[in-house]
Amino acid sequence: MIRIFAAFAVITVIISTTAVYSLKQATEDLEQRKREISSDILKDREAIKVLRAEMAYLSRPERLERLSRRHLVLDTPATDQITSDISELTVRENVQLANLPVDNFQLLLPRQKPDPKNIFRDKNINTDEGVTSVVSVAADINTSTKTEQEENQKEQMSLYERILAKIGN
Amino acid sequence: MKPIDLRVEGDRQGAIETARNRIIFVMALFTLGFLSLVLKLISVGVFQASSAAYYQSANVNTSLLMARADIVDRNGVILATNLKSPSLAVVRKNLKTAPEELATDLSSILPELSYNEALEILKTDRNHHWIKRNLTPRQLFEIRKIGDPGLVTSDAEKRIYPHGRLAAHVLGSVDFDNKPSSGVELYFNERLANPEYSEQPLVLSLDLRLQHILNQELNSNMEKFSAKGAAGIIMDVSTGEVLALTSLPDFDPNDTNGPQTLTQMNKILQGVYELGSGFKTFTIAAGLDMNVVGLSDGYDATKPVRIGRFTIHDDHPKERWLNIPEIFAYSSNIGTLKLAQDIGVERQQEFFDKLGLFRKADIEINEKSAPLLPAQWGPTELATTSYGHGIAVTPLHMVNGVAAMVNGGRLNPATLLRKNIQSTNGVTSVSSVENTDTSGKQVISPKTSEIMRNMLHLAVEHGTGKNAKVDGYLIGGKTGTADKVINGQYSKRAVISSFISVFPINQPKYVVFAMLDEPQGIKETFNLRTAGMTAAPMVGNIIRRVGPMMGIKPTETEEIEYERMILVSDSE
Repeated sequence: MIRIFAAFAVITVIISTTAVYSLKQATEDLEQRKREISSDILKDREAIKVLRAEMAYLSRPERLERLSRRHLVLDTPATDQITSDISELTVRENVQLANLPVDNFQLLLPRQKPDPKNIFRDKNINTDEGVTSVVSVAADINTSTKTEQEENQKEQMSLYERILAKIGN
Repeated sequence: MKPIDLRVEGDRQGAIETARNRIIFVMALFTLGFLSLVLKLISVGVFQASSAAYYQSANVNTSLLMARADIVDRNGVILATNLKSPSLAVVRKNLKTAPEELATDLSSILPELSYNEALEILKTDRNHHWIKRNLTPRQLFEIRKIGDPGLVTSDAEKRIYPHGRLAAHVLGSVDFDNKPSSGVELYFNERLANPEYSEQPLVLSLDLRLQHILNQELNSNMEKFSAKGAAGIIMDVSTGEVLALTSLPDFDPNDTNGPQTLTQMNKILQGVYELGSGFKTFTIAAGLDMNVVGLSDGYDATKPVRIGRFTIHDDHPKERWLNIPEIFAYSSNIGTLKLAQDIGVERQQEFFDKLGLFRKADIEINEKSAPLLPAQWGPTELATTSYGHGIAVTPLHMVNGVAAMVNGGRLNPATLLRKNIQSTNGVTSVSSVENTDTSGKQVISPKTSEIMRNMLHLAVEHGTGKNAKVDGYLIGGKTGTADKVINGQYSKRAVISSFISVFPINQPKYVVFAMLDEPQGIKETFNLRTAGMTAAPMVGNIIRRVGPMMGIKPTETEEIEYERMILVSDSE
């Protein structure tokens, strides 16, 4: 009895020590990686700073003007080249500007992605035909779970990025 | 299995007991030792997971990087940023190589360091001695290759101004240790040096494109008229934001530590000048706003007026009775001073004070001058100040005042920071609200302001500012030619030509001011150096280029108000 207990104790000690050690090692590896990454980030940031400074230097208005005069067949526009109204551009009499109600509409914004769960429910209601619809529903389930997974992943990604941003600051 | 029980009797028993005791003792020692090892292992593994040292080693570089925040213009173009630039120093006690040998290496790597100089530095008594700042990456590599522990490189940061001279007077500059010496760098030093904000750039109101246009036009005209200097400013009338500010001659903030000579000072903020006829805008606005005169009233400008020991002439004499719009358009000194006499000393002073002409201008730069005011304000001063002589103010005072004359009568303090920015939780965003800043102090009524707009328009269409006309844009403006005061006397040779204009005058957006310091007449201007010939066309050019860039639509020429009130129009 005592021997079994002793053996058990020894094995537990060995396992737990190994576990603690490997955990510690993993943490240190992660720390190391984190240090590497943050030093990489620092380096990249510094490089970005240098590049931005260079960008500003290269896009000096004076230089751009010189280059455009040399390479482009463009000149400063005269004020009579700019019109304030489309009707000035035509010789036709009584130009009528289309004033459609569309002008009063709000700017079109990209629609929100449809919620996969809702789609699934709709499809389910519509299934009044035989096997084919079942197959399509099954396919829908697959795709919907997939999109859900993707969305979850996206959420995780954004969280991760947010954390990264926090660390970076 | 049963343990074998060995028992030895007799003498030997004592010996075996001793041996057993010893073994137990040793085993106990070992057990204690291993126990402590296990305890240590657990404590290391569990409790010391993240020591502070790791974080320090990871973050030690961040504190050095970005010690000072960037400065950007209103469109996000970088005006000032920090780049790493390592410096080289020698620590004598750590030197391993012979100084002679090291001096040879150093002088070959650093071209501006001769062998003797290097040797001298290496042999100094001081323990720590700087050899060179701002090493290039290549030089740094070569020095690291020598590998002497006595040569120490340190990561310093250097302030870089990618646009060089372009906005030098606004930005100011910093010295070797990133200590600011002038400009915005000095004024916002606490904000820029605060590590909390080092990631957020300081957004100025400047627009680099306009700054370039202003700079270019001033430069070419300064050369054209062989002027000693030039200065200009473009300001948003409704917010007081300065979009461009130039003073020539300027300096390169990358090389020098601020203005080196007196001529390089900021003429817009530090230069005080008697700006001449531009002041008539204020006098006439005061007269109309206080109901001293009506639009159709006027004064007799037939003969020069004698005040004290001065006789005051008109520069563009009409020798007849002039109404108020005519006095303004033809820039009549006589008419203006007669109006000022009707206004009176007290009310004139009060009005100038309201316009902020008696104190330093409001702007986020420390180097600015207070106006030079007459010691006493008698009848002579009343007359001369009405047309801008005997009172010296900075061009910024003038621009600020004129902006208030046309924007509906509100005096907005000038600012170098971009307005309509909202900053919440460290996220900056431009608010969509139009520039309707109503914080400014009302100095004249909106009605008078509208009349002044039309008067300024008239002065360009029919008066002294004709050369500033731009096809398609409605411009209002007033010329100002003032004799310079040299050694306490008005010089006949030296003048300050300035032109202050507002465009588009039907819906004022920008005030453009430009001045030339001592321009010389040339053939093209019939050897004249008056503002109408020198500064006015320059401002016209600036507006011609700025207008389309700022998205201002050209308009068909509208009817000019009060045109009918000008009796002899366009006769010159």
